[in-house]
Amino acid sequence: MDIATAVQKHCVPDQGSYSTDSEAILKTKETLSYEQLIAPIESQMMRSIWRIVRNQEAAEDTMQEALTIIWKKLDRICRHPNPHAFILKICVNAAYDTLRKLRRVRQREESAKIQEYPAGSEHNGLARLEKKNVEAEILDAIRRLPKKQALAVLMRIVQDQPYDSIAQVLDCSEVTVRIQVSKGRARLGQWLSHLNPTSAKEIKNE
Amino acid sequence: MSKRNRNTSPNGPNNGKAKDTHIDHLLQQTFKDDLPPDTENAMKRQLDRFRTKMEQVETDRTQADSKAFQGISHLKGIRWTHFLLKKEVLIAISLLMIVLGGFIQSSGSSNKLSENLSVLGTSVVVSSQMSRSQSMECSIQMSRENEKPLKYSIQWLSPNLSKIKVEESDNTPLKTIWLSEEDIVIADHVNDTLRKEKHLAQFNDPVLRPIVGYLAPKELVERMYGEWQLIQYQKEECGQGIFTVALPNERAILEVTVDLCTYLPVTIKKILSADERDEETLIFAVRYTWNIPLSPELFSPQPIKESQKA
Repeated sequence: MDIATAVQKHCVPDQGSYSTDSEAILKTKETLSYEQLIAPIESQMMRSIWRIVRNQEAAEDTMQEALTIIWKKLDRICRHPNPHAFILKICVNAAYDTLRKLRRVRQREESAKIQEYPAGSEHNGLARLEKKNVEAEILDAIRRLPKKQALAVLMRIVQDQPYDSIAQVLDCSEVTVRIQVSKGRARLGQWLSHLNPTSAKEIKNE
Repeated sequence: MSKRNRNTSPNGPNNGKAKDTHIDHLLQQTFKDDLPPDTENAMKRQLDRFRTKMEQVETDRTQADSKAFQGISHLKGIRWTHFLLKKEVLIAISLLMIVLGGFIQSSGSSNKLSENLSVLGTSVVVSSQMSRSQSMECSIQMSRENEKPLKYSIQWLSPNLSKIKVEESDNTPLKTIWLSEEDIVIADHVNDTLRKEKHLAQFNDPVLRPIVGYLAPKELVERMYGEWQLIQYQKEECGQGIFTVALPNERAILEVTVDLCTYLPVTIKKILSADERDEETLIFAVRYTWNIPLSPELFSPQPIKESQKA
């Protein structure tokens, strides 16, 4: 039985309020088990967070943040038509928030690293620095995108999720997701055009 | 957004596609999948803690009730005055419903109704999954002529443990009954006594004997296979199905309304079959409310006299 069917069958419709909040939480949080909800996508969750955050400490904090949100929204997740996609969206969302928070920290780290490169390893140091700069530019460009657009781009291009799944978790139509991804790509293309060798050649030819 | 921003491919569509590919490549390079083992281990530990937390909630829930049950069942030497609940058959009926779907499906396999009924097989599956994953609650209220209305609240706490509270209509507790595979504990709140019984099979109280078959699902299934017959199925427009089951030995029928979305029973009516002279007599009507706090307004029991008038 796939997860969506399991959800449909296991989650009893919440037809009334319970006597206490804790009772309600207790009841609703038992509808799907860890094995059904999280276990199948553990690896995807970890990788989604790491690929965006790329820092151990921050990744752990982000995972904690994501799990807290999952815990709070467990009832909603259980009733969602695509719980796994919903959980992955929570992870990407948390990672994206971390990415924005990390911006200043990263900038400080990068400037410190420039000082650290020894004179003898100038070539390697510059190459690494160049790579880091490119990464930083891309991360910065992602941060500059509107949040929904950034999430759509990350879920589509980084997580390789199908458009319909993204639409389900972003609560919009598939067409809207395609537009968001397309717009996001276009903006990134514009902001990062100097990193495109084709564009660079075109500029030189001109 | 400016017009310039909207123009994503100034040099033609192929150039736009190449740019898209390049952006995708840049993003995949930047966000590459190279999770270091130590980070992975640290995150796994976090997930393990989360797993424990989720599992703990479920365990806590069932354990809390199990402990209460054990606490009561350990009491010994308690005088049992008398245990008399004539209408406990109603409790049994609700348990009956848990297996009714499977019964109907199985027994109906050889008759014309089976096509309509096959869907009901889900009820047993759903019910068993629900009782495993969470508790179910069901409340029943019934009144009869010249008798005080009583209210039953049934909780299936786990596959092996059920709790039945019997109260008067003004919420005065009368009895609480704990049913497990091994023990039955009856708390009489009026006389302030407790009684512990062994297995249901050894439950020899003459007053209760007739309902033992209903309380034990295995015996219930046997009874359904042996004695009862499905005689009619009718699908209602409101998404409900009505099954009519004959109880030949009692000259009565059960009309069971089931929600075809959840396959849970909605109402059950026991009707004394009409003969040539008599009209049909409603013996009782029960409305089930699943996982909702007790609410007397939700029930529509009708005393015999009133139903006869109707």
